[in-house]
Amino acid sequence: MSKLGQAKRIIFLKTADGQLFEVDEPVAMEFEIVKSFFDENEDAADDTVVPLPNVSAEPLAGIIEFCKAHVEFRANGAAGKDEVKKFNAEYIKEKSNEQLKELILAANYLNIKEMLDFLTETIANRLKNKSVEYVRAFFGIENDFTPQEEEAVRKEYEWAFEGVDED
Amino acid sequence: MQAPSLYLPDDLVRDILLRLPVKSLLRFKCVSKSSLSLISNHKLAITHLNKTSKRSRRYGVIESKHSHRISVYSLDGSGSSGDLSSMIVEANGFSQAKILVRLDKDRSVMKNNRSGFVIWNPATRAQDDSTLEFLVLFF
Repeated sequence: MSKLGQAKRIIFLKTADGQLFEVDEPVAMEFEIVKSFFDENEDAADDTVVPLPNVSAEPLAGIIEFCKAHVEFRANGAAGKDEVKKFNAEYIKEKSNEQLKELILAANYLNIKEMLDFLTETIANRLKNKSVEYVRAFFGIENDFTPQEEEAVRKEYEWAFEGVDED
Repeated sequence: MQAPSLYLPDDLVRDILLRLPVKSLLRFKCVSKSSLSLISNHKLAITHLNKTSKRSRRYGVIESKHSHRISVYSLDGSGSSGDLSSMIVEANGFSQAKILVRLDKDRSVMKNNRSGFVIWNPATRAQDDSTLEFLVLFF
């Protein structure tokens, strides 16, 4: 350990599929579940491996990328600035719906408030101009209306079906 | 083979719905019976309003059982008529809007027989929210 205390502490995380991640402490502490693990185990050795049985490697890598960037933004006083918006837009641009769902499930389990908030907003934005059929497919919800029942609901809100994007 | 679709737990689905504009919410009532009942729930409408009002969209939806009209309300206690006009512009799909009444705690339910609709004060169902100031009907 450097006597200047500059040595960065590394947190070890192990995913459901057995991959080990080495994460800088400030980034790992963004995960409420990791933070409370160390709060409750104050004597935990530096090389303690925190198991994350509900998260696999792919979403965790994506989450670390996001949290790392946001920890830096905050440290640089860039929070809320265009730079952050640009990063966020770029971050989700290439993500498929399945990847977004994987990320939000992982962020929910790890309890990362800022990222959860961002992903919730992102998914809402993706769905807002979409058709009913698209939303069913997105959430994996089965249509349990009879055609007559569905027609009745549609009729009631006809105006809400105008200007819907292509799926 | 395609990987099976991931399911999101109900609370995440609900949080996503709460971020949607009113028009999308009404359309998504057709998704399934459970989404119809979830979205028709007044509690969701109130939470939705509280969420969206933070982002300066100060309206939510209540439906009148009797007339199938949609009422749009603001829960912002400090709201002025200036705020109301911006609400009106944002609530598209309605041809007219009228500020019907300012509500207070004692006048939570109002009836207007002439036009045939019932105003229902959602604040009486909202546990910790007594800030309802006015109610606007769009038709």
